Amino acid sequence: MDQSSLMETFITEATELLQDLEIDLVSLEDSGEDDELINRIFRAAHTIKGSAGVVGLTALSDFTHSMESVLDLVRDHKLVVTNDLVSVLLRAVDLLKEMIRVASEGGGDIDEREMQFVLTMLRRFLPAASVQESITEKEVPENREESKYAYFEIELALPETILETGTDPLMLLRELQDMGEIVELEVTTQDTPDFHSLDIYKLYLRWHLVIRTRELQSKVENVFVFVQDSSQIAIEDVTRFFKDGVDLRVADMKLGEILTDKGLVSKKDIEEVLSSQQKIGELLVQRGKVSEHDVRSALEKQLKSREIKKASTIRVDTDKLDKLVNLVGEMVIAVARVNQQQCSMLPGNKRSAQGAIESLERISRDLQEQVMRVRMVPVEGLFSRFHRVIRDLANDQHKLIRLELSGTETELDKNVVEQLSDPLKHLIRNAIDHGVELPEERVNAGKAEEATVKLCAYQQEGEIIIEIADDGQGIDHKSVLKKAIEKGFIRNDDTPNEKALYQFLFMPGFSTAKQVTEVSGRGVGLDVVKQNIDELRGTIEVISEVGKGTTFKIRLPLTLAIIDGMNVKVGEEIITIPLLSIVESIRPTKEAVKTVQGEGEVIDARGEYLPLVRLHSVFGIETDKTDPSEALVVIVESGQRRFGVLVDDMLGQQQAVIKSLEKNFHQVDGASGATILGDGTVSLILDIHGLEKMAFSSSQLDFGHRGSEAA
Amino acid sequence: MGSVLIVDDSATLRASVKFSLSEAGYAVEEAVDGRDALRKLQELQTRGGQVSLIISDINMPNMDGITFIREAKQMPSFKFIPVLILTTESQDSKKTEGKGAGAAGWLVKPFSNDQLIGVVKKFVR
Repeated sequence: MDQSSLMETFITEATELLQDLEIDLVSLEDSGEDDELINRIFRAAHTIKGSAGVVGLTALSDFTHSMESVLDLVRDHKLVVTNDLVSVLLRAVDLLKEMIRVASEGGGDIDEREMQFVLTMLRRFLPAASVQESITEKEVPENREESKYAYFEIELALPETILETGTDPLMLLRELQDMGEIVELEVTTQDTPDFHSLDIYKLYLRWHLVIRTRELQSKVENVFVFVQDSSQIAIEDVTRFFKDGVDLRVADMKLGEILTDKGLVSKKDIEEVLSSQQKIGELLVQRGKVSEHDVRSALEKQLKSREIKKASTIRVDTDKLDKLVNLVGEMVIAVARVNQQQCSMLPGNKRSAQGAIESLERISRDLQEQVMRVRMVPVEGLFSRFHRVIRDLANDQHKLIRLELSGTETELDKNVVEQLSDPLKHLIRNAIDHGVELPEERVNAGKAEEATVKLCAYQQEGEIIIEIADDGQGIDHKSVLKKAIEKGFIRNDDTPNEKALYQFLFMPGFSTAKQVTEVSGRGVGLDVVKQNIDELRGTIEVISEVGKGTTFKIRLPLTLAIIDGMNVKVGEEIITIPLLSIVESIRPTKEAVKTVQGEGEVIDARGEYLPLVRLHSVFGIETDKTDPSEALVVIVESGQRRFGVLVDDMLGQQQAVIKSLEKNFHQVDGASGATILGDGTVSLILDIHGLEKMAFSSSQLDFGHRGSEAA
Repeated sequence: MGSVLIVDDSATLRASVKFSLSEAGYAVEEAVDGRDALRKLQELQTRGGQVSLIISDINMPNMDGITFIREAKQMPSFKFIPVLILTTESQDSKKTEGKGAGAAGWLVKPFSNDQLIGVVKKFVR
């Protein structure tokens, strides 16, 4: 059975039906109201409509639908059979025959005018309302980002008699399971009678469940489409209460409430137990440890404090905060736009507007800062998790380690804190695995038996620094250098400085560990750490001294949502370079630009030769300023090296609200996002790390050549 | 995998349902109207067979779908077989009537292959 033989079946069937239909219509005109005859005619049209839909002949199906509607009225005696009506119906049959002939010949044009005419004639017989009915409403899709999970809480009480219809509740539950993950499931068995009065054809169970799914609520509701009117089913979107599959409402619930909700104990049970329980104050007074008066005053103090506290803090959904941050960002842009427009004002207006605009700018900057601050949380929660990690690892490896935390009050954006957890955990494991020596080795080296791992955070000039330091054996330069040569990252005769050398530790597949341990040293560690930090737009560097220890230093921007950027011009495009990565900008002399065989171009920046990256060729932008001595070179610094970026001109500094390209468009190599400028145009934000990778990775070596040819 | 009985006077519809369900791995039995369906069910039973789901049209000659469901629900051996009725959008009252007769659900014509399989999966796996 395939599609073409299905079509053949349809054509044979429809042709037969139409023949009968024609004969029946003619006899209808003679006999008038013959119910059996009318029903047969209706059925023939109905079958053709349905079958045509099955084989995908939608036009034919739609057309027959109009015919069916008219016949439906005749069947219900709402329309009298007249000569006029039968003529129109016969004309419709003729058209259907023609449409089927066309379909049997493999498709082609049908007489559209004739069809429209017959349709109009048919519609004359229909009441006004039913004509509109045929224009079906399209379902309005609910709004939800594809990637976002939703949580639905479902209370399911099916009718006792459901099994009699052949509906198996298990099938419904399985269907739900196919849609996502059931994160909570409770079955109430309270209604089940004792064994002797149990009717096996009855359903006594009720369910409470929470599903985590990407599907829309309508899709979840659709599971119960056949049972919804006879059952008690409540489906509620509880996404706002859930995080990582955990119901956050439980956090504020009392144990008794949780237990009663689960149906494990009754409210009465709880009250009973509570009334027999003695309060701590009473107990202390009873034992003579404290006076009743002191307890009362302590309670009063507590009550007062709680009241004040309740009034001075509120819980806010992080989603709401994110929206707020975004809006404030938009406002900053709008203010910049107003400021730009100012230039086109008349001199008189300009002066009076200037003061107002300046104060608007100041207020919006303050507002932005305050809003950002709301999102900040101290790193303490994050840091104190590592006590356990260190304890366990130290035990496993028979090492003695003390964790020292400092700067735990330092605040970071909530999102950043969450995303820091994994890389920090990895670095700590790394320190314990490779850094910290065994107690006896430490004693032999003249160090304290117990090693110290320090985790510290502090703010420095618009950046947050996090350091993970151990006082272990340090990193052996030579083995790193050897490995880098072995892996082909550098040549035999290269002598990179320490900072650059250690950056190789973050290259994928680079591991100097002699022994692969359980948690790290598989060579898949530090590159992931680096990637995590890159994603946070931070940098990481290593400071190490053999025998003394190793420090990993992570620098992070204060916020992820906004950066200070320098707008540069390349051709017609404006590109934003993060201010933090800019060292300086220079206009080199003609002599300062040199081409090194096989390496591309370099420029002489005050005695230091730096590779030159031509932004116009990276992004394929047309420009006539291809001569560095006529354009500008912005010296930038990535974690690994400094290099020059050739741009046409610098336009000025501006705060940029980062918009994700991935979310709104797609990822663009060399760009970490985009921002909207004061005049409304979109500017790419340069991703220095990405650009560095594009320009200097071995697979892209010919890029350098292309650059030098252009010069 | 269970078997499904499709009851419809339209050969096209039967053929299409059979085609889609066989593709999905179900065995399919056919009947042209309600009377034929009852006969088929009894015939299967004498051979020791049973279908897991019945999909039935409503408007059919000889015995319509509603009567068929009522009759089937009277017989202890067929009582618990779920029945899906085939309706069109214009027949909303039929859903109610079908449910009253004991149908477990419905399928609105014309339906896509995915819709068919999706509904059948609610009853037979």
